[in-house]
Amino acid sequence: MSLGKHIEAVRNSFRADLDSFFTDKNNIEELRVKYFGRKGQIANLFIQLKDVAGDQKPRFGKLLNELRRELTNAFEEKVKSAHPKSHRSQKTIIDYSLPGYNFQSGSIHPIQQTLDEMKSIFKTIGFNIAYGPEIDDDWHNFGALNFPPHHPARDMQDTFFVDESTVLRTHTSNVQIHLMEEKQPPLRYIIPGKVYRNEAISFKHYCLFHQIEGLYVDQNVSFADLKGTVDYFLRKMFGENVKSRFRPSYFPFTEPSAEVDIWNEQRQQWMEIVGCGMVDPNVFESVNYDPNIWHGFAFGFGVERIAMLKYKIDDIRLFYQGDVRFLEQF
Amino acid sequence: MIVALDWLRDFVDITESPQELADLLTMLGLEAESVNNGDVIKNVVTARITEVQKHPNADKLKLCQVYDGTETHTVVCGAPNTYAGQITAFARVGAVLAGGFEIKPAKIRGEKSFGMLCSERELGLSENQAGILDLDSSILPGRPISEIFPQPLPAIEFDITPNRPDCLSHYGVAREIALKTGRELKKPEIKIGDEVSNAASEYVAINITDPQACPRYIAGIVKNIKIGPSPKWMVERLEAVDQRSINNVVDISNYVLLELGQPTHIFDYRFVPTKEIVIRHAKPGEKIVTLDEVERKLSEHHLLITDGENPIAVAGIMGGERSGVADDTETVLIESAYFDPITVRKGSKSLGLITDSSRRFERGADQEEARTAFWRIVNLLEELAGGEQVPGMIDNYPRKISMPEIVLRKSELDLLAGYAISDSFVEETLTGLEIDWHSNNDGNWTCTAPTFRPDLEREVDYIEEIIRVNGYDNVPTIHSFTGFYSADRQDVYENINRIIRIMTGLGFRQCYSNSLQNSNMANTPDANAVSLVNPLSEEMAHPRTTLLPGLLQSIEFNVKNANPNLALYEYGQIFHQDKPGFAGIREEMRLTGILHGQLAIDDVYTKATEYSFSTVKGILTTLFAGLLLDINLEKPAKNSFFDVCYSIRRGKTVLGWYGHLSDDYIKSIGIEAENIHGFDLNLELLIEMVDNNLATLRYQPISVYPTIERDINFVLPNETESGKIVKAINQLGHSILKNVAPVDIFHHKSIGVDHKSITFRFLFQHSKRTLEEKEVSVVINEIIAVCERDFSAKLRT
Repeated sequence: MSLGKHIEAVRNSFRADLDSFFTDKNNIEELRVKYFGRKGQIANLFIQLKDVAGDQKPRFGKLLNELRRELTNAFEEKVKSAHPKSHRSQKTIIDYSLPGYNFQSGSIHPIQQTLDEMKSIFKTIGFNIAYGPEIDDDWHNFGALNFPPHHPARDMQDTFFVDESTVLRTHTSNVQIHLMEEKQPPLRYIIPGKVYRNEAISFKHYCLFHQIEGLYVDQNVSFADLKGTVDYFLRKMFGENVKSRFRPSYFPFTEPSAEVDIWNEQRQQWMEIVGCGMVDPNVFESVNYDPNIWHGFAFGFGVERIAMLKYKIDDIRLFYQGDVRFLEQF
Repeated sequence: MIVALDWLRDFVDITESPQELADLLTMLGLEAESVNNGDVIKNVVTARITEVQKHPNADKLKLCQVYDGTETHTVVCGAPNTYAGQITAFARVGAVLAGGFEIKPAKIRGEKSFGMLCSERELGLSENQAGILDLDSSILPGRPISEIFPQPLPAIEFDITPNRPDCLSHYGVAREIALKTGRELKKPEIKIGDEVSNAASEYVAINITDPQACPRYIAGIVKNIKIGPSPKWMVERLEAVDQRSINNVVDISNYVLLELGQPTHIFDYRFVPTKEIVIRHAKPGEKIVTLDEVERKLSEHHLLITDGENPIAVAGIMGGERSGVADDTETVLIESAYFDPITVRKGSKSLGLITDSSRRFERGADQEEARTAFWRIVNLLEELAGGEQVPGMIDNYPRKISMPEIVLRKSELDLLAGYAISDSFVEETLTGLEIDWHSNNDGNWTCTAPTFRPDLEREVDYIEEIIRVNGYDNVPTIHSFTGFYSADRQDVYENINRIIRIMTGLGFRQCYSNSLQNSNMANTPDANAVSLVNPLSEEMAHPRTTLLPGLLQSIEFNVKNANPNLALYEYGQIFHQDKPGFAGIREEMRLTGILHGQLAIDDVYTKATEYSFSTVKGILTTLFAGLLLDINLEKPAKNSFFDVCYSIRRGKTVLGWYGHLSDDYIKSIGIEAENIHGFDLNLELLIEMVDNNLATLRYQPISVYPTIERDINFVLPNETESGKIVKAINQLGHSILKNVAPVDIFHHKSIGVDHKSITFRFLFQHSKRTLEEKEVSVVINEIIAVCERDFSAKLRT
């Protein structure tokens, strides 16, 4: 075949390729390489030029250059028409001072954030996480936790009853019992969850709140270990300079029992932050652990109280109103 | 429990300030709730307003000329009740008011002010701040305000935990102070009279029918009583602890209760004509009018004090109105008894009546103290009411309660405390607690607690006492987290965080709402709500069966507060009463999201776009893509919350629903909002799917071969759903077809009003080699043929 015919063949092939669909970058690149690349078809024609007789060379050279110009123009035209925006018009002046495109922003509730932070602190010291039911029987919420029937300790927690022996749990301590009924010691768990109290709603109290309960059972667990664990948590949560005090208190399911206060510099007063103590031997007996072998401690933090201290929120009801002016701040 | 410091000093020396004493006792486990320092307000005097003028620069303020007995001051005042000639309270410059507010010279709206006219609140007298004090016009200016309003004695209010009935008295609190400080505990001076004489027995016999409920009943008679006011010192002490003085006899009973912790009762002897006291349970249907003038219906739960026939008191709870002390009472019968805690508690609960007496008995009174208190009452009746005791103490004591003997092991104390406490400290503390102990010389002590400490019944109770008195401050803080722990997973719900991250990225705000709802919200066609027997109100009588009402309330709230564009979600427990009883309650964790208003607002880039069905569908698509789960959102469903409703499925499992919330439903639960889209799904099922999927997740090699894209335009009848065409094309099963989706829908009269044009975009790729053009063409032709045949599609050219 003569070089003239080769030139025509390349032209036709190119036209055919160009007419078929091509919308993506790969296709364009493929076409460019096929015709305009270093080893492409046009380069190939120029190589053939050296075999042409001397007097014919200028004529074919001119034909080849024309072909190259024609095909290049057609190719660029096609690329431009397929991607009109990829070639920015010289006339468009972009206003870079416009606000950016508006995307919706979501937010995570401060209770969730506080829960997550608390969980992560306890995870670092080897606590697993357990969950349990919010409606439970008297045994798990009271009886097994050493609240005898007709005992004034039951008045410490205003309780919502579903029936005589079914309650909305007043603490996540019910899960302590479920856990110990299911597993053998040693145990090291925290138990986050919602709890309910039959208290009039005010800026200070809500009919429900969140707790993180902790339970650690092993053979040689002491009150000093409990103090260390609570102290570690408080330092991580409120900073190394947090000022705290342990003072004696009473909970039926712990003995000795303590309440821990942290100093609120702003209000110049101690704020109760956690109730805790050594697991009462009666609790171990309820779940068939031998109290002569096993010792343990338990604690219960109020999540809202910690969030309120951390973010300086003065009304607990804000957590449950779903007010976006509140939610967007976290 | 409020204690007056002056009263405590009868029993122990106090050198601390009220605040210091409160701190000391708090660290012993008696939590101080509030401290009244008994501070006398200084620099506040009575004064006369001589002139009231308008403030030149403020409508609500006045310029007052105030004469304080020595000179006249100019004071700016905002109270509405000022008038010339008024006698009021004037805080001079330098005075410190309630709450620590110090008065300084001030310039208020350009006018100088020297001092302040006070309301009751500023003086700490009450919460009233409606206006300044308006005193009797006969009061002369210049008198210290503390003369007009005497300040109460310093006092501390404690929150006493239920295990410490011994601290519900001044003597009990003094015992704790003596224990901690090492000071002497001074016993109350009580003159014990003749206990064996039969004279009193001539007046009354005591008959106990149930020794379990009433282990001890002491009675005695005092004659020639003259009812009158109590002496000033007693009135002041009672007032310092928030008790109202009534008359000398009633006050004596209250005083001894607060002093020694033993409840007593004083009957008018005229109302025991039978000369007999019978302690028995009430008969069904029996009634008594109690001292508070309420008629109480009784049942066998209640233990009664009767005259052998009729009830004259509910034992340990409250006396009867009829048999109480009256102005003409001359002879009284004193009761000092020990009643069983559970009996008193059941009675108090069923009457809904809690008294100072019932609170002590249900926590455990002291059966030995009953005797001391009896004599204390007799002494005071003779001293303050002119009484004359009929010799003899009638002591019916059928059941003596003995305290258990406990062995306290040094080894167990050290293990539980986590540090060593010296033997001498242990022994000093046991003595200070009035525990009867002896050392066994093997590192153990055998102990018997006094009767006023019913809480000391096990070794661990003694261990707590030792650590408590030693001071929790002295317990070392051990940071050591050793030991090997294993669990199947540290947190079974950790993947909820993946969902939270995606929802946040999608622009949703997380909410927590009240889980307690009214019946209308909680009882739905598909759900039976759990009912509370003692709700705070009907509005909060049921644990929620769906998260939707809480979110809808948030929407209503935010729309009213000018925030109409909302994407909100909540996850949490719902509760269904599937069958009666506890076993019939089902808890389930759900994830619910709702959309209201605009996804995009009008701005330079976009036109306003309302949230729509396609938004909620897209949100679910993105959520599940982010969770790496395939999902089927194409199946119509029925659900009472939605009027346009599709199910959320994965395989055969229905996870929940999505669509357009029924406006009728929203209205039916009393919420004003409409055009809301949303979804509601079972989060427990979803988490399980995420967990399982992540456990088996494997990397898929990325195909290196080029892709080919083709667009086809079909003209279709308007009612043809694009999803059906996509489904039919996918069902052809061509492995090289990687994706097909509608990318444009076009309506134009040129294609007819009852038709639409849909552009489908196809993506082809071969996983093992480069695709050839003609392979694609074969598939495309088949697709066109199928669409023409099954959907009356026409190619648009």
